[in-house]
Amino acid sequence: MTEISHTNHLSPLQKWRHRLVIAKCDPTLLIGLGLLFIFAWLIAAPIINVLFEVFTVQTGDEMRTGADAGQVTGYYLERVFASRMSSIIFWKPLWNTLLVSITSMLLSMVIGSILAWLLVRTNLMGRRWLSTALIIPFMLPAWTFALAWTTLFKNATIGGQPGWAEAMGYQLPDWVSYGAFPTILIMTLNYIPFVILLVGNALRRLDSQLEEAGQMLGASRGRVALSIVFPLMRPALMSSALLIFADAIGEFSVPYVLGLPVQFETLATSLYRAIGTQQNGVAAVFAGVILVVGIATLALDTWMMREARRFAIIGSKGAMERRQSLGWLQWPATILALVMVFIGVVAPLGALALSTVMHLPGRFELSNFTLDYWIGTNLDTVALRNGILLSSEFWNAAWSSISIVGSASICAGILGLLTGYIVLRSPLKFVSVSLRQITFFPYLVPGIAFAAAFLTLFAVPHGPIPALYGTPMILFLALIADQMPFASRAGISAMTQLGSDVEDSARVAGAGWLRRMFSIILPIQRNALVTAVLMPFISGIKGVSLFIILAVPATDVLTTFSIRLIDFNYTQAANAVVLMIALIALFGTILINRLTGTGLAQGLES
Amino acid sequence: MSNITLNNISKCYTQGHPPAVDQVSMEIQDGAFMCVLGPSGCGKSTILRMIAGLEHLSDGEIVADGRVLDNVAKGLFIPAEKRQIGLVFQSYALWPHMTVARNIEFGLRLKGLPAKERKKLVAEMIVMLKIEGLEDRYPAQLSGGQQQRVALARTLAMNPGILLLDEPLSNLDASLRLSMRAELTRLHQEFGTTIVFVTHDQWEAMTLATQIAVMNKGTLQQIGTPDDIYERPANRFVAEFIGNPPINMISAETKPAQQLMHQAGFSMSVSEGTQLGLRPEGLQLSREASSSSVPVTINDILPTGGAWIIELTVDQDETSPLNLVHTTQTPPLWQRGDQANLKVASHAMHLFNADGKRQPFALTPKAATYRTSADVVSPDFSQSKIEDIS
Repeated sequence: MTEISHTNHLSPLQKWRHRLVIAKCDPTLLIGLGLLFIFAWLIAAPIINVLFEVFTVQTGDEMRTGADAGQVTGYYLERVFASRMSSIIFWKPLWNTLLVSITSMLLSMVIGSILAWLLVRTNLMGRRWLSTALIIPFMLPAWTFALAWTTLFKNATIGGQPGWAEAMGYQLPDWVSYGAFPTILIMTLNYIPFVILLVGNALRRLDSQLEEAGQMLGASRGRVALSIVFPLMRPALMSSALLIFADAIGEFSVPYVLGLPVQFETLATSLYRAIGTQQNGVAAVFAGVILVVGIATLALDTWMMREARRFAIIGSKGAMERRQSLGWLQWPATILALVMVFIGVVAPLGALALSTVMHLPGRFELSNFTLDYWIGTNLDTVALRNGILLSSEFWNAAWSSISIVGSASICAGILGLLTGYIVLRSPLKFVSVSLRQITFFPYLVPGIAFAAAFLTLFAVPHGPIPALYGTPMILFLALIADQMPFASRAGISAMTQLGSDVEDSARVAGAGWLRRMFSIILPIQRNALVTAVLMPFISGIKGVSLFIILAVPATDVLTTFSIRLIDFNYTQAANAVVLMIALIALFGTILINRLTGTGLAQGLES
Repeated sequence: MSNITLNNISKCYTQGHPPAVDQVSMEIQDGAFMCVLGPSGCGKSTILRMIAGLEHLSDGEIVADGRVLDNVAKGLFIPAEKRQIGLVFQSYALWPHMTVARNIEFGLRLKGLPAKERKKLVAEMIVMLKIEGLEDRYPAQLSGGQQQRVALARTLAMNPGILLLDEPLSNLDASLRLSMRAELTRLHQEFGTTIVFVTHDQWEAMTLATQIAVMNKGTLQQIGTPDDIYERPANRFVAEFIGNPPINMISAETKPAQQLMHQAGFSMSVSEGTQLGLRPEGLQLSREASSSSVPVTINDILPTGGAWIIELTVDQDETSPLNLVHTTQTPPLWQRGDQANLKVASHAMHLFNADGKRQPFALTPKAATYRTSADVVSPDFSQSKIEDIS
């Protein structure tokens, strides 16, 4: 073997000329570079910018900082971390955030794992039905449950319509109605399906022959669980825990709805308040903190997953799924699952739905029922004098939701599929690696921090790009960027399955790049494309964080519309709007499941 | 209808790593049925993909019919879609969203043929490859053999001057392999197309090809007819790679080796590190001992259905046992543990020097008078190009 490359007789110029000639025949590289440029602008630039803002004097803060706008300053850092105000504006919200995130993570892990085991590994009654029912909360926006909670358990601390409990004569203390307790509860409910999906999948992959092999060698059931099942499940458990934690620290809507009345602040709500009060520098610090915690957590997850690969379970040949008989636990276990379905699905959705057809909350008399809030006209209210289905505000908001989120999702889906194509086909490894990473990056950044980052970058004109704040454009761009992780994962996994032979054979048959795209790749990937569009669509429709920061009344969408209704105490109408959002999300998810035939879990992993 | 010339072609995927293909040159004649044979990872598929234009060269030149397809030094490259070379993939790579008829028609559409002509050609191909009645099926509804026929039909419909096949028989079961082998041979004769195929399977190579190029670790080891390759392996790698069970390789300096060379009439003086290869079917066992035979013990007899594999140990004083494998088509009269006497036919013996290169045998003066085989005295290298393995 020649040690030194024998291509040495070629000059670098010759090699480059040859490469250039090849690149001219294939636009893959060019498209890859184009995509990189787009994502650098949409994803990397806002995040880098927000980190710079932390150290830059903001317009309006010249007096406070004693420096001109645009100059370097440590003022915001000092104010947040080390001023007299710090304990109120930062340390308390940080503590609340950690309290809520960690507690709801632990609770959902415990309950979710038990349910996953019951569904996957035992002869639980009605498994099939329960495994669908228990996942439903995952398809709904988290704040649906927060609203349901206030509908049921709101007390007299704040005005407006009382909760059902109040109306029925029960005086609830504040800690039940608002703040940490309900926030933790709702977030736990929201994350349980996530645990069921991830842990359930891992359990499903775990060959029960591994357990039986342990039993054959004389290990007791408990011993098997402790020495075989738990170690093998640990990566999945750790991974779900970290993903939940990373998501929880950025959660905005639940603490916003439930924490506001008792000044229960988390980092996300503080960030929102800072932006609302024009403290952009402080907002940047909050965004930076959420960002750093989120990235650190997910980096930890990636690192641990890599470690976990070391004991990837070998061979699925003849993998068997054997269910354990629950024996006398059959009934209690089934009841537990049913109770979870009731608390997680039936009660909140039922309460919301009922509240929209009742004049006064919690009073179950025939005369109290009405369809006014849906289809009434000339109602006795200051604003919104028609039922929501007859009000132009609702339809306008619905239309902007669907058109903005829809067009962004279509773009994200196409970009996602293209990203998948380039990641797998790029002749330059650097292009595919950086594309894969940059499109996944928004996943590491909680929505609220990302929205804040977008605001700082695009609120002011940059070069040829005008200021976009207040236009649907900024929402559109932010949605695309925010949804790229889902869209690109869908694209990459679809393209991975396709393999290059199918395209190569078209090349050999004489098809150029465009022809291959339109005659081969796109038709084969039709379902993947639909998924890559629908997944961002659902997630965008139910999302709150981006809209609450970037939308203005002129670009009202369903989420901001309903939050405004909540703020103005139009409880029934707000609940009706939220129900509509939940319905769209639910049906969209069912549609994806039908199309892909695989179920949700795939989209969550990787 | 076409010839292909590979001039010192190399492919280096990662800088600093050994190249996947290292300065390979070969001339593929018009109408040849050439096989590139080698173990997996030897660079044979890369060669095929470079001819097709799906990979580009790192160095060297590919010319087909006087047209330069790829030349690094001159900065020339013609992409796959403009080469008009047919390639049948190992996975067949049928387009899953098109029916059989559409699959075959796709390339013809790209050529801009009118509908009527396309239809006629498709119908012809369907008859020729015996896939009638499958026109409206989707690839997923076809068996492996049918898929391969469709893949072939799709490629042949384009009437390429050069047809490349990637492991054409390896995905088929035993009976399909036989019929597909016959099919490919028939197509080669009927169309006169230049066919190049790659495989790791020596059976596939020996039965199909008129010429075989043996590759290892990116370098070309030998080119020749199937018989050349088997009977006159250019080096130790080729000798050991071809043949099943593999050739017995023993040090030529050992006493038994010397004795076997002597009984075949060869001179016993060999340089250090020389290895003696004995094809298993060339071993001869007998009960009668002669002065030149080597005593052996039968270790085991394995029936393989119509043939037998006999494992032997040479009886000698040395500490490490010398094991040999013998194959025979006649039912063996031996029992496990029997003593026997071994001779080896001279044509089944091959000598390789310390570098692994084939070395001609020298004859003892007595033998030279009646042995005239050109192979023995001066091996015929005119048909074989030899590359150094090192």
